[in-house]
Amino acid sequence: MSHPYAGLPDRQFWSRGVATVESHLFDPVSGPRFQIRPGDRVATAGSCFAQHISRRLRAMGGNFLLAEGGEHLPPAEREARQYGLFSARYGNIYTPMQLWQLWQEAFGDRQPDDRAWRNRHGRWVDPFRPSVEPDGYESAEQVAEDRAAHLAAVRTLFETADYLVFTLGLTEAWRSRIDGSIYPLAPGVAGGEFDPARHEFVNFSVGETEEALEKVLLAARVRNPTLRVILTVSPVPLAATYETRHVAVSTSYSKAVLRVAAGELVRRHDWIDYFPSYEVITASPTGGLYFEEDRRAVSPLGVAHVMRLFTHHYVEGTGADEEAISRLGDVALPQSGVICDEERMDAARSGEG
Amino acid sequence: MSGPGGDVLRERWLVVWNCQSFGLANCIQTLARDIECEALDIWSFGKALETESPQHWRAWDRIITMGEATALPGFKAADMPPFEILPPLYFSGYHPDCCYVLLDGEPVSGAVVGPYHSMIALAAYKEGMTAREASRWYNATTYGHAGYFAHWPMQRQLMLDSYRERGIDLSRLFRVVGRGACFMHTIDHPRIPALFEVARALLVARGKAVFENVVPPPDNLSATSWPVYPEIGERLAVAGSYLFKPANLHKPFELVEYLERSLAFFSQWEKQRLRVFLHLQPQLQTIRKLMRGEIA
Repeated sequence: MSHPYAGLPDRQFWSRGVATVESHLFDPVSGPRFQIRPGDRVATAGSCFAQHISRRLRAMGGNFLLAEGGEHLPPAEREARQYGLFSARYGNIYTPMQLWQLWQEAFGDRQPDDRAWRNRHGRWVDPFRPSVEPDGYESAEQVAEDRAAHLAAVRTLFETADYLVFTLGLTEAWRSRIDGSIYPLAPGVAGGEFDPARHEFVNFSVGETEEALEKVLLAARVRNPTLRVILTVSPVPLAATYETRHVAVSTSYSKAVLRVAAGELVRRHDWIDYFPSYEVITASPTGGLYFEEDRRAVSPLGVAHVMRLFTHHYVEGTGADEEAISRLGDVALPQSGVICDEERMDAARSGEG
Repeated sequence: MSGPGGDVLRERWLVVWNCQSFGLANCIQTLARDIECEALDIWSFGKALETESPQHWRAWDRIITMGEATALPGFKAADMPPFEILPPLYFSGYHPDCCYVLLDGEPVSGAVVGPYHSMIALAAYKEGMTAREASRWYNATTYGHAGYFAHWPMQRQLMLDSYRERGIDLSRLFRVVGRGACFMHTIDHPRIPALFEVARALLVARGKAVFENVVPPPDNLSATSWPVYPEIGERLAVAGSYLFKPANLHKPFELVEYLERSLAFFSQWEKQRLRVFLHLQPQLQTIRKLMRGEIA
């Protein structure tokens, strides 16, 4: 009897793509759309988890695009001041809206009202990357001066990158009621002062997330027509939610929204791909194996798994060195005792149904 | 199986393996509802073959043994109860650098981790290095050249195949027991969860009733343990280290100290007298070539 699941590859069936695969061999990547070649320039941006990707890419050598490396500073100082953390010194970019506003500002289409905030030590911080200068700036003028240099680096990055790896972090943010600016941290946390009359909480919808992400990527593509984009969703749960519900529930909302937005863009644009780092770390195949004690931070082993798959699938020439490891074969798995019509698709494929 | 009075007649099994005998027998004893299981190691078995009558062996209903036991002088299959050959666990996937070192053909023991040695340390000794110099060769580049990363998939397949040939599905050892964990203390000393899984898989394959959720027996092979090097562990979802636990002691040595002791141990003998088993010699040679700069 013919049916649409006949002949599909192993990875499309749970029994063969997960249940009979050792955790560290779990590989949810399928059909990467492009391969990074020697000499290609790869830029990184995104949330906390993107730092891991960035660090590993940098350690791998030639491909990492460093548009703002702090070359004027001694090497030891660069890291502390977040030079090299990402391809430019923008700090964590948690939401697509933040990236879109950064783009607009870098290319002269937007000027936020907030220019500099004082921190609790009386020093000055950049409201849109408040932690890049650990000791703060001497003056508001210094903030502006450094931001101008940063925006120039952002322009260089978007204009010269062959690839942008953007890790989507969350959907909750704080926004200026005055001009709609999105802050990476709530006002008052690392600088400035929270004022309900001037600041509001926002939790972006799928539509808003998708729209902002598409706007910035299309704009970047117009300026740099060969740019290709690899989207990922950070597996790191929210540290806190401002919604009146459990942080775990807010996490699942945020990640679902980001995942759908990424999926929609991949569906629409062949120069955008999705890399499933979120699934590697959070899905049941690895079942919490890669979280640290706080069940939030991703362990080095988890990062290693993600980056092993990234290089294997996306970096030209690395896959061939890997030892091909066969599946464990057909093994008898315990039955759940629950009637699951879905499982009939798998049975039908193997000729049992 | 019930006796005339309704009491359960338990089968009596004997495990004749190497140093893993007692662990496996204890696991079978723990897991099997209707089996009493005892153990002899192969060396005691060899001696007993010389002194015991055929009647002695018929006290057991079944013997689980290793191929080498059936080649012992005095072993007569006709005198034995039903027996089946099952290979003890040998798995270097987590510890590809761990090896035996042969002195004039015989394994030397008494170094830091009992009879186990680091092949890189041996190569460094043969190349005249200090401990600190040797320590620099413990990295992913060396492991890649020496083929260390290929051990795990190769050994896994060998182990699965050798058990599958006997109708035993050992995949759960890799899917479940090895999930985020190293199931071997050394290349030939499994941790007790691994033997527990072998016992479970064997009993299930032979249609024997097993208890679920029963506590495993103590681990009698934990006296010696080799570290999973971080670069190896990273690829296997196992947290690694360079901490070498001395046999029967609980204070590990860090890499350089381990190497100092290891090199001092080797220095009792001339370099050419120390060798590794034949099948490992290409690896040793590759590491030495790498150290000499003959491999880019």
